[in-house]
Amino acid sequence: MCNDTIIKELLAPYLEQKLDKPEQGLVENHLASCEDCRLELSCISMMAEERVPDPGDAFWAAIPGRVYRAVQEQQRVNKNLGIAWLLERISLPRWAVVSATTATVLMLSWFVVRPVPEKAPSQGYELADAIMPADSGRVADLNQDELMTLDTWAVAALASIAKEADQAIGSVLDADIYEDVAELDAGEGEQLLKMIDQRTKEVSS
Amino acid sequence: MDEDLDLINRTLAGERAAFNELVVKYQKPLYSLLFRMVSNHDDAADLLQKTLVKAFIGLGSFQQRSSFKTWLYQISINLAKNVYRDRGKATYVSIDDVSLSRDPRTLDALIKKEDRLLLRKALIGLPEKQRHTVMLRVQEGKKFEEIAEIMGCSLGTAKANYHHGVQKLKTLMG
Repeated sequence: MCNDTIIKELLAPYLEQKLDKPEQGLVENHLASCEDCRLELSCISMMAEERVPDPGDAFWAAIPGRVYRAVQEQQRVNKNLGIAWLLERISLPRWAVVSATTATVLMLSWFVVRPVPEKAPSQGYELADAIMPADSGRVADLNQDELMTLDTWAVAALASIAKEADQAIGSVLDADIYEDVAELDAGEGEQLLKMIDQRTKEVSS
Repeated sequence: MDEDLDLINRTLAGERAAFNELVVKYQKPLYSLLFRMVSNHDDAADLLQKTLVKAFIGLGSFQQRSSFKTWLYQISINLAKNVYRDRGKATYVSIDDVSLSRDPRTLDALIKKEDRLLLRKALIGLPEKQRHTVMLRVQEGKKFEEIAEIMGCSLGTAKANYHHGVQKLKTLMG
């Protein structure tokens, strides 16, 4: 087997008669003594001589028109598929669709089942509830007698609430005073009694 | 090349005559290459149309990194590869089908024909890249620089593919 790559690269152009005189001589000298390259030249020659059958003038004449129509058709299809193509590209990544759907479902679920904080009860709120009728819009519909009845009820209710409040505050104050006095020592107790006497005299005078 | 660019620009501008001129200019060399690759008229004609349609649809994206002809060759070789893959293997005429009664030539001619069939069979049996490289070099008369461009490989790889391919053919023919 011949490994002269320079000669081997010159074989095809030698066959095509594209070499200059010195190169041609070089190849011919080599071929005279190298059976491997003669066989290679024979193979190349056979392949080069292989003729492609001519399909005929009618075939060649029809090609431009066929290609033109096919290009027009393809462009029309591509144009129609423009939006579909875009949508396809947008919706193609399945992981994105699945992720977006899951996220949407989770968000909706959270809004449905989320814990609603209870409104903190306040005294003012309860007082307003107690004073105001459940449906304040209906007060305007009341006649004179009904209004008087409501007023009486409201005054009584307020008086009752005020009394309960006074009692609660008084009891808290009394309890505090007794607790404070109980904690005084003998000297402090005596000083306190003097202060009370003095204050009593001032009030009575 | 300049002539091709002019035709391309006029085609892109919608001039039908320029389009026709480009098709007529390249249809025969492309068909010849494709026929040698697929060994039958129907596939070669189909691939020729597909090559030209693909080229003209993408004509606006032709970046002139190579000649228009080289670009067409690249498209046709890539399309022909798919035919090979779909087929599994290329069909060829069996040597047993050569009939003496239908070939009233001399014995020498018959032996030559046998050799040709054997060579065709050997060529089809080559690995894809070697086969295409040998065809482009020997049958299409392309230079190694052009082959490298068409095949998308280095000059060294193109030369190596050619030498390995021819070496295998010689072994089979010897």
